[in-house]
Amino acid sequence: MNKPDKTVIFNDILDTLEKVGEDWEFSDEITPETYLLGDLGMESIDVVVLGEFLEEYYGQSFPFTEYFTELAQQEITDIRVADLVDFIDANFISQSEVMK
Amino acid sequence: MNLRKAPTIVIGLDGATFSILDPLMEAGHMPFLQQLTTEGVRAELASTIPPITPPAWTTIMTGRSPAAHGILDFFRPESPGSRFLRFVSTKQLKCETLWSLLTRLGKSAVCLNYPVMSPPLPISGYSIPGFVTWRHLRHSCHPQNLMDILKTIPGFDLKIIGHDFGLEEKVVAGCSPEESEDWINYHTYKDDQWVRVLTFLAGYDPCDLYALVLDSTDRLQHVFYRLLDPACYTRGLTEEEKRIQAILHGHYRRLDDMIRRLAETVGPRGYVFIVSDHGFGPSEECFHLNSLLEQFGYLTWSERAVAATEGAGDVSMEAVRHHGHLLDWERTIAFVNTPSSNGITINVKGKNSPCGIPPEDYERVRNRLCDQIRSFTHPVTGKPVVTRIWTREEAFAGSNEGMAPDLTLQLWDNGLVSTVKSREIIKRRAECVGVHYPMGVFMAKGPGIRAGERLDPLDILDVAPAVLYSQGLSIPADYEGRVPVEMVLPRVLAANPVIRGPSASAGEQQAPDAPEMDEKDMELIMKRLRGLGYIS
Repeated sequence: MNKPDKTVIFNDILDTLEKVGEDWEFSDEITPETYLLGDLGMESIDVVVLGEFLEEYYGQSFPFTEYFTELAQQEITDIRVADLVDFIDANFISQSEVMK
Repeated sequence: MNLRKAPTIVIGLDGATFSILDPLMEAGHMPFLQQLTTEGVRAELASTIPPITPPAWTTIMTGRSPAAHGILDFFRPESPGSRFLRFVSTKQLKCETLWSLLTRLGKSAVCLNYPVMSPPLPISGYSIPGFVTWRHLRHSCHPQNLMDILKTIPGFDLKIIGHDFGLEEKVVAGCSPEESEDWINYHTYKDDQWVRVLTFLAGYDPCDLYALVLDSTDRLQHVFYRLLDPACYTRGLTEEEKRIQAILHGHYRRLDDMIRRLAETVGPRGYVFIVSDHGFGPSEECFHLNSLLEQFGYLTWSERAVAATEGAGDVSMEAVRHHGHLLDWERTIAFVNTPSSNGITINVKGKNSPCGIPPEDYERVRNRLCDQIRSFTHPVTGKPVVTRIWTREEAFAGSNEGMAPDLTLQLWDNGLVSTVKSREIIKRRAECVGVHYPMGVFMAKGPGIRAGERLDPLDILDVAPAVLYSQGLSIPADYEGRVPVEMVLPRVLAANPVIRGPSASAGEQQAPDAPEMDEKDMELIMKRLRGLGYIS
């Protein structure tokens, strides 16, 4: 898979959230500014599981635990959807890069 | 007698131990369990090395040792060589489960609250995994519409059967006296929900095998062991401790009633097994093994760890996953990766690490480390702190040996080590807690099973063969345990010999009778739990 742009990544995250979040009680529109823990009520482990769905979709792994550890070290306790988009964008390895 | 006609239920009691169950039965708190031991057999059950939940339950559900099934711990590296950890999943499972085996043989199974069952396996029957938060339960179940089916159960609470990692931190952090009653009631309620799910499914779509893990036993024993094992309170209890103990006894009475309801699902011709993944016992001290490795010169803490204040010793699962930043990896030769592993990993350059010892030094370094650990003694008793050391090839010989720690330790108190920095290598805990001991429980009852007999200790590898035998099935050639034939009446064994088949594909006061919680009790508990934010 070639590297998607950030808009596509954002939509992929929305699609994944829609797929897994049927029982979640969150009716507000999800925007790039939505906080995963504070607004969506997720626990950090939920974000890792969400990440595993995205890994399955993109066919590659991302260092989610390492990312959250670094955030915790900076005393950052929550992230926005936009932060997740940036993280995936920064760590995405496109097929063409793999071929090199 | 034909063994294959009747259904089987395997009731898992996480961490159950006769040290607690026997006094509870003798005091009349668990009359059904008492009856079951007189109508069936009982034995101690030796757990996996180390005795922890994911490898042990996976051994029960695969009949294979951790080295074969690939689940050695709660955690796995985030990616090969990563210092950061994620929870294990079915993606790491290398052996066929009982549920998949039964499916392959045209039978069906219900599997509830077993760890390492997510993502779900396509079985004939139903599965809901343990250790998954409620937000991810829907897509972790099999079949995919299972949650919609379960929502037809009056009072079904999806959120309560999900694993709450925040709440479960009390297992290591402990409970304040004010929290204790609600913490106990939370687990009573949670277990009851699981029982409701199983009994519902047994009526909705009867299956050949039912398996459920009730985990209140483990959670409550971690925090309240000292109030449950009479050997721990010979000097008496305070009034507050007596109050909490009475609530705990109430929990076990309700648990006994839940076990009765579960056993009834297979009827009088069915087979009932009660098993635990490991035992439990008391621990009053914490062994800071990483700090000992620092003293020995094998480990260097990172600046972050040096700056961090010392913790109590036991750390939460969340903290373990993130511990990778605590060490200076370029100046560390040997370290403990997770407390649950009770194991030491040696960094070998070019093998599992970009830095570390040269491969040719491995045996020498490992032998020296073993000698140093063996010679380390308790500062008060003068006795060895580590009572046994297994090398990787001794404890985990098999296809997944490479994933195992280089050394696995058994401690003088059967406890798990601490990975966090401490000035004291052996640190006294604030109060006695419960820790995993190697010997769990096994009970069996059913047609053809001996009555009222105590068997010699069995191995956890024997559970899966015993379950298959109760279903009249052959035992896969690659199963590492055996059918405990001593539990079977001779005439029944003669008519139903064990057949090996092809390998599996890859309180002091007498308590009143405990009725099932009625709606009023339940609503009261729900109200309190809501008030505390445990449920919404």
